Amino acid sequence: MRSMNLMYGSTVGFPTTKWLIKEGANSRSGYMRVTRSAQYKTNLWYCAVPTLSVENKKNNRKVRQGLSGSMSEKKAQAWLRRL
Amino acid sequence: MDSNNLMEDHGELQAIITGGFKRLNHARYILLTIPQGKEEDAKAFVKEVVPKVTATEFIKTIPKYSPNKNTWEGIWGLNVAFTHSGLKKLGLHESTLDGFSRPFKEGMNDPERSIHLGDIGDNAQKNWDFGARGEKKGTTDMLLLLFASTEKNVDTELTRWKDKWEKHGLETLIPPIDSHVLEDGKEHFGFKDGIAQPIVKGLGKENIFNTTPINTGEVLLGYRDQYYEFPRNPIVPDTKGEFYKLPLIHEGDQHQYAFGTNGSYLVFRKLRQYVNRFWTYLAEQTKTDDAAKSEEAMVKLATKMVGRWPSGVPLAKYPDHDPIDPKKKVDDEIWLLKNNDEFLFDNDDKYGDKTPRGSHIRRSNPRDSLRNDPNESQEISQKHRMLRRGRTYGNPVEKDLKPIDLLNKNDDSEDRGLVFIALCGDINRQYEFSQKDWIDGPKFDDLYTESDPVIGNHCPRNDGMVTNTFSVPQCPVRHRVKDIPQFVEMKGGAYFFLPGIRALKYLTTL
Repeated sequence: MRSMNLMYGSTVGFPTTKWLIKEGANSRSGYMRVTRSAQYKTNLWYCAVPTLSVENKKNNRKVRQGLSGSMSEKKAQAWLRRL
Repeated sequence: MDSNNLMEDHGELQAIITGGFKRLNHARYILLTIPQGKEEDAKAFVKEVVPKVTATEFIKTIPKYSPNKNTWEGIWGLNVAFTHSGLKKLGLHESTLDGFSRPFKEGMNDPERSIHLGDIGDNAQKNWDFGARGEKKGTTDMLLLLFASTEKNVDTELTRWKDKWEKHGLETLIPPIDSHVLEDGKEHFGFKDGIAQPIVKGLGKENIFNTTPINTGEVLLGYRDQYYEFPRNPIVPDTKGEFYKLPLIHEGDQHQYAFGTNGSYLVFRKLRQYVNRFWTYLAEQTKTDDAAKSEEAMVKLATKMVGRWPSGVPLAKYPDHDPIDPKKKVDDEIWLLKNNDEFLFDNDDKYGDKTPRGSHIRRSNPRDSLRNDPNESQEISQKHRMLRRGRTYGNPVEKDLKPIDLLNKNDDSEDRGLVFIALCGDINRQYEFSQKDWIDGPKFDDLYTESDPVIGNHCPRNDGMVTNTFSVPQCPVRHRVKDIPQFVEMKGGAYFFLPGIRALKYLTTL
């Protein structure tokens, strides 16, 4: 909610925020209305890896990083959880 | 309208909203279509139904713990709901029809919607028993819900109503669905069902586990929802029928007559369960040389998939074994264990060691476990809950529903499963979101290739995502099972609207 307001709070028609981060996107109907009114149909888009989410990729990076270097027992257990 | 105690507001709500007709263990679900040209006859039928609809006020008069079974003799309950096409045929004005929410107007069988709801592959509309778009038998228009305490009573009532709807020219889309409550409130796979329900402000339910209540508008139109806004409420013009008897809504200094107040959207889905397929898969995954150990492992894996033991006790409280001794009589302590809804995940189960992150109950209600922010997660979870009022249908494979018996009796030919019924104020936010992003979503809680192991769709998807694995966190590394078949298949459904009592009466004046 907070990051939504920070990113989009200055756009035209966005529901009024309070102190930059409060309200705004939390006014659900207002948010839905302004979003729908500004939507365009996308005819073409490209996704590099369609089957992985951003969090998946971040996790994969951490797995890769853990393959080299040394680790404590505790860190090794945390790393194994990522698999 | 602000929600005080709605239970004081006698006779405003259909009884299914405040309770699932708890003591009436037998039910019949009747799906009706109004054939072309039979609209006036259908109105006459509705005129006969409405005076007999059971409101919450009546349910309050039924003794809670009746030692004398005869007190229940002759008591039956009736509730009614309509689809958009049904309301149109019954003469609701265009402007009122337009005031309903988009999913309700478009219908559950909208082809685009089916992709989002996971009604593809084995769940696709072409495999449905009723309700598919363009079905020759007709559109799904009306749902009657009949309840009684014995099989004989419910069938007597069913016959009575059948004579009436046939007299008025209405037709059923499928034979009435037979339902009776199974052993210990379990569903067909052998797990106790319907345990965690949200506490809704104003509906008078006792908050035993001190869970945070949700706003009335999450279930009923005409009240503020979890965003503190009023859900869209269809209004009627002051030109037709007895509009002046309907509840008012105020907008500034204007007031209008609302059809939707005290009503709720009713999501109806007939879900067929393949019991032998379920236990056979689990048995194969946990096979060892020791028969007793295999059985224990098989039940444990199933429990990890669900998130609760077959008895209902949550893994969050008892991660290693089920504390219930089946031979002991159920007392208050045992009841509390089985129905426990007082647990969270963030503090002592972040990685899903007790209740796996992809398990059914964690997906249906993530509580405080999302995105490493327990407060925001709780706030989010509270915006996607629904009141579940469905029941099992069909005969159990074995009356006692013991896993080993369910495995050994190779019988998936009989139609049995769950009639899923959810009441909500916003179909898209509460039902569709949970179904698409949490239950069927392979990226729920940042997982990779798994959807809900029990009820999720495991068919190949257009976007290439794999969904048929399940991982159980373990030391040193997780245990993953693959190639999970489809255990539950969608066999038909619709979005209905369950009107308040005054709205029902208004309908009869059109």
